[in-house]
Amino acid sequence: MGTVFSFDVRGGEPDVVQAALDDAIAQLHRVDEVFSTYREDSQISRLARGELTVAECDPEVAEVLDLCAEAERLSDGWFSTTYQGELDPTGLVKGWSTERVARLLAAAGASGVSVNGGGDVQLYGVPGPQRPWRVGVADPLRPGSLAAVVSAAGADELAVATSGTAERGTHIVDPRTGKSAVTDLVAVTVVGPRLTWADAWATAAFAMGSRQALDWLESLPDVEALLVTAGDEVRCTGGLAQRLG
Amino acid sequence: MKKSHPLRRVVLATAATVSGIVLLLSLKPGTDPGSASAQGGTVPPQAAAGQESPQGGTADQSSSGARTVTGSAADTQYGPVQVRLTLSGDKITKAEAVQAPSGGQSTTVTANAVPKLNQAAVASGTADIDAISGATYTSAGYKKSLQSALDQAAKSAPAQPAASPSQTSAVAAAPAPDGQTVDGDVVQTQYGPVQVRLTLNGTSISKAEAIQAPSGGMSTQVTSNAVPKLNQAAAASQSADIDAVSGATYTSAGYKKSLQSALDKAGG
Repeated sequence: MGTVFSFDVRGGEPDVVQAALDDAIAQLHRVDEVFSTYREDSQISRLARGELTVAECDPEVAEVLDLCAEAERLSDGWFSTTYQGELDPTGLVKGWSTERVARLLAAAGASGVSVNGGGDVQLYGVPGPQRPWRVGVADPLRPGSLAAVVSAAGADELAVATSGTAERGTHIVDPRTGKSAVTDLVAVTVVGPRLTWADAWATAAFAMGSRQALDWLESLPDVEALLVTAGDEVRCTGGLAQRLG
Repeated sequence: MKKSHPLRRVVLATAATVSGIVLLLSLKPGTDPGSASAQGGTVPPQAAAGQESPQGGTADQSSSGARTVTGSAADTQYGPVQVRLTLSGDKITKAEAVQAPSGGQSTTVTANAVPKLNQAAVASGTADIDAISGATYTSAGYKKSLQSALDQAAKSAPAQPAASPSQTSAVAAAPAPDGQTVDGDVVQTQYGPVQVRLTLNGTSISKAEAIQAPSGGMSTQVTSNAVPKLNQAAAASQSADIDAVSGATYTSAGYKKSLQSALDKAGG
């Protein structure tokens, strides 16, 4: 995938946690083999060419495609699984796979888990007694600075996903025209309990432009967001302030 | 608030110099038995919580009492803006707008912008951040070189007892001469060669720079965006009390490899 995954795991029995970590890494490599659109021989590429049916693929493929269909429906098509006619679930796979491995580590007995998959973070538990996980949000217009700090205080699970121009480029499509979306946004950060959805919503919102994105994100339950425009303006949903700290 | 607003520039300039973007990937495993972290497929790194650096950039500085400083009111096209900072010793613990434009569109802009400024200023003071979410770059070359430099610097540190019980990073050891530099391997990427150089200050990395980086066409733009982030990351990782990893992350294997090799050389 060309994506860097970073793990920060606290507590649990070291042997058990290490084994789970090895398992998590193996899973991520497997996800890459199955879902990478850069690999001609991946199941997703072969599926796109009609060489395989969904039933012949790993069960995760069906799971991801179902999630993508739901994301498309809930975002009125702004989250899209096809790009230029080609099947491409990339917008959901990264968040989904990061969440999966974070969940695996939590299930192995860790008291705190933070997994960062290419800038999208899934958090469980706490890093230490009486201290919540804190996630900085990079300022897209000032490399090296932060736009905000999100705290997971009071939440057993929290995810922070950021979608930006450098990452997505022309993959952001306006479903009304089928062409690259014209957007005034340079970054969208979505905060919610699960990274699979936070990632999908950040991707969908990006294409909408700042006004529509803010209205739509405001309408989603359990979701807060921070948007940065090319004009260096910041927009937040009403509840984001409570998540900062 | 617009980019040109002077108050905003001051507050963010403060944030930029102190806040850290850390590459967890770049740090060696700590000795804390209760925690473990790894980066997929390569050297397991870890940033220990509560780590203190010789440069003293942590959240644990004792405060000499809170004081407030109020900036002059600045006129904007939307109305006057005035910022008040609360300081505890040398650290900014709070930034608030005591006057901010309101009415019409301005209320929306203010309400949205002020939390950002507050958090940016506060975060820069405490640097107690575990992870950073951001738009990512997929420049494989940088990461590789970075990782190689980090490995070298870690290996070069002679094995000695840690200076203090709270220092659990395996990189901590006897200080190297100030300003010692370590170069990572040159890593070839499809855009050209990438090489990272680390400057060490005692046991800390004070600077990380790309001494070879792809340029021309799109590469120049990616390079000029990528290098400051990674540089900040490597430098800040030594001085900030941050639990988990990196800021706008770079899936840049070349940079990481060169950095890791520089770290390994510094360590060896």
